[in-house]
Amino acid sequence: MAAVPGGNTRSIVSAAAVLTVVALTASCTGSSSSAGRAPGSRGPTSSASAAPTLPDTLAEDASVDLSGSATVTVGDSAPVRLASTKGQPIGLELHTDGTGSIALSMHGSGGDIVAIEGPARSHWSSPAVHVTVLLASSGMLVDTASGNPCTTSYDVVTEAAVTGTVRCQAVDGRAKVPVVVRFRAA
Amino acid sequence: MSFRRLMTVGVLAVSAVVLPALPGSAAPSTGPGCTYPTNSPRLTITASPSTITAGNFSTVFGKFTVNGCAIKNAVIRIQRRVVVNGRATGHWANVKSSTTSSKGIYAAAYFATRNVRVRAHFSGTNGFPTTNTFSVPLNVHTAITESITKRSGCRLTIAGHVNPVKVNRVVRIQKRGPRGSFHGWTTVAKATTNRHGHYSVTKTFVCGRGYNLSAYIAKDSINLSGRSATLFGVKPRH
Repeated sequence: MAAVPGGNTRSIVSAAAVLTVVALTASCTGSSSSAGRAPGSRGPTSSASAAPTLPDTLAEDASVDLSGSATVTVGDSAPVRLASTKGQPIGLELHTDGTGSIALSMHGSGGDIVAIEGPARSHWSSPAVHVTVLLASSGMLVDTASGNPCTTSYDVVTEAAVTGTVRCQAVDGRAKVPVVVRFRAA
Repeated sequence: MSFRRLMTVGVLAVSAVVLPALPGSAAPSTGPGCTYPTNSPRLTITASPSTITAGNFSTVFGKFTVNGCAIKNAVIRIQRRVVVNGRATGHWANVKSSTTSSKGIYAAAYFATRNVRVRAHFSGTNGFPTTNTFSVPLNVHTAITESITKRSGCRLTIAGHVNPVKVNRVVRIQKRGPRGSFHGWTTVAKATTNRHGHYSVTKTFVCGRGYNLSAYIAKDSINLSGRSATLFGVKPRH
């Protein structure tokens, strides 16, 4: 596995979009640990038909809409910057036990998109968070729901701020290319 | 700025962000380096976020390929089925369309107001067969606002409205701890929506005490529950 560039996990970036070249597969780096509650209403999107009844997490949780930005770095290329938009705030729900869930979607110029949805908690990482990175100009698309594993690590998850990093490895031809998304919201 | 104007500005902004220069009406095709399609095309879909609040939008996007090659200039229709009590009902209806870029990428902003399932659909043409994605859920919270008017005698009037409009529904006014110290919600008042989706309730609170208040409406057959932004530090006055 190739090394993931960049280091400061506190950096100020929030979900960003990364592109993948056609037919790419990704493998992932990072560790996972258990989360407490994994809120159900913001889990990964997947397959078809019957939709299960969703738990009404808002009845118990604090909820807040945040705004933020992110950078996406593919290999040694220059970071791509993305940001949340007015009609698409970063949604965060927090339970009394400190667990929560995030729904983050950010856009960049040229149609780049980064989406992060799933459980969130301070100082916690997991490969189970649904991550999608689209870099429109190159056609790169990384989606954990399509079998491209990524690990999402959160530094801080509070009502006031969320910071974290997503690490994936995209496959470009025969080479593995690290994809790093640093995101921040407040 | 009016809500309508905000929405207009929002849609234009979103279009600029989500829909960068897409090709026109050329027939779908792959690049010159690709062999003629021998396998079925592959169409992917993501709706992000998969849970929104009414009035906000989800970006529905994906990629159309065959044999690993992008299919450009293909018209992809975003379709939805409504969801009632957790089950998809009715027919697929077109809600948006997008033409794939030279990289096979399509994207569209979808302002849903109720729970739906969405899929991407390509109507076969130019040698490419009709292709559908699986469907993905797009769940929508009821949007609810809350405004507070301080009245004499430590009374507060709490009012707002819900979107989509819901009639004769209970709205709970709830309090919580200060920001950064959340220990759950306690209901302090209730109101009922009228035929316009508006609600209002006036209640006497403890004078001088600070309240952190939010309005909550439970989920129903077509929407997830809704919660307003919390108004912190509301102090009733004598």
